[in-house]
Amino acid sequence: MVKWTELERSTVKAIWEKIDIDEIGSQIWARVLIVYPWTERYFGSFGDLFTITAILKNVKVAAHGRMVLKALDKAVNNMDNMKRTYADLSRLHFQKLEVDPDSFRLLADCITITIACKLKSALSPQSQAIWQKFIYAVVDAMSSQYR
Amino acid sequence: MVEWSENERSIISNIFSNLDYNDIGPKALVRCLIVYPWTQRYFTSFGNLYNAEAISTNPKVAAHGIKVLHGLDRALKNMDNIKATYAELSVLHSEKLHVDPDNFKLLSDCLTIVVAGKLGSAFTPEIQATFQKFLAVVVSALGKQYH
Repeated sequence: MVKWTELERSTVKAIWEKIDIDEIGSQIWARVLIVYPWTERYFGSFGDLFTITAILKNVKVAAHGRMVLKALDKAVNNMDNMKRTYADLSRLHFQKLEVDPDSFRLLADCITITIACKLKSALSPQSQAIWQKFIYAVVDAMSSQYR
Repeated sequence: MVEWSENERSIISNIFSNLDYNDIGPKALVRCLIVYPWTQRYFTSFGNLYNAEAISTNPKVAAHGIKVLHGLDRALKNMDNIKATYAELSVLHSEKLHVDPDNFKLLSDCLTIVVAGKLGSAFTPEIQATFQKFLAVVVSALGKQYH
């Protein structure tokens, strides 16, 4: 189990409080699909993903991003129990959605970059270190049911 | 050989022409030393790196950050031949400095986050994709002479 200091807990919560899930969620998913285009393979049902403009305007992409951030909220509120919190989701991504677990890391990196764009210098090096520890713990939890 | 579209060339050129090297260079290296503390092992001659405050105000770190960022100028001016451009630097990092080539990616990730923090929403998904492509080619070229 990952151990968290009081400072780490409060830093993660402070960053999370500054995130507007509706605003940031839509951007995150567009970033993943544009920067790592092979991830589009999971979203055949999302319609037009043929150009950057199409991806940026696609409402299903935006909605999916918001859904993923809402799921991240669970981790912020269950930092001591992420594996159990994400066990079902992990199994779903493994067995049903057949998502390559490397993709979780790509998404984590895009989330961090989107947060950096929003918070700018408020995402200090120390905050970044703590945020990355948190998000990679989420990535681990999401990979935990892959066998 | 890596192919670059006109759009990608102008995106990269714009990013660098709007960068304050004296600001961004130090910030990227400071971030790397704080977020990935094992990288401090290469800088024992830099004096006080004992905590984030010391690292952030260390003049040798700042100077080195500026030097590294100017090193990227070489790639900028030789985008069609980045591998050859960095061959000597790659040999230096491998044979003399004994730097683990994985660390090049860590520094490039920190540079991405600093640039994202600087540009904010102007660091669009498309610009992120192009910048990451550029840095990935540099990272690969720096690792090329390792054996």
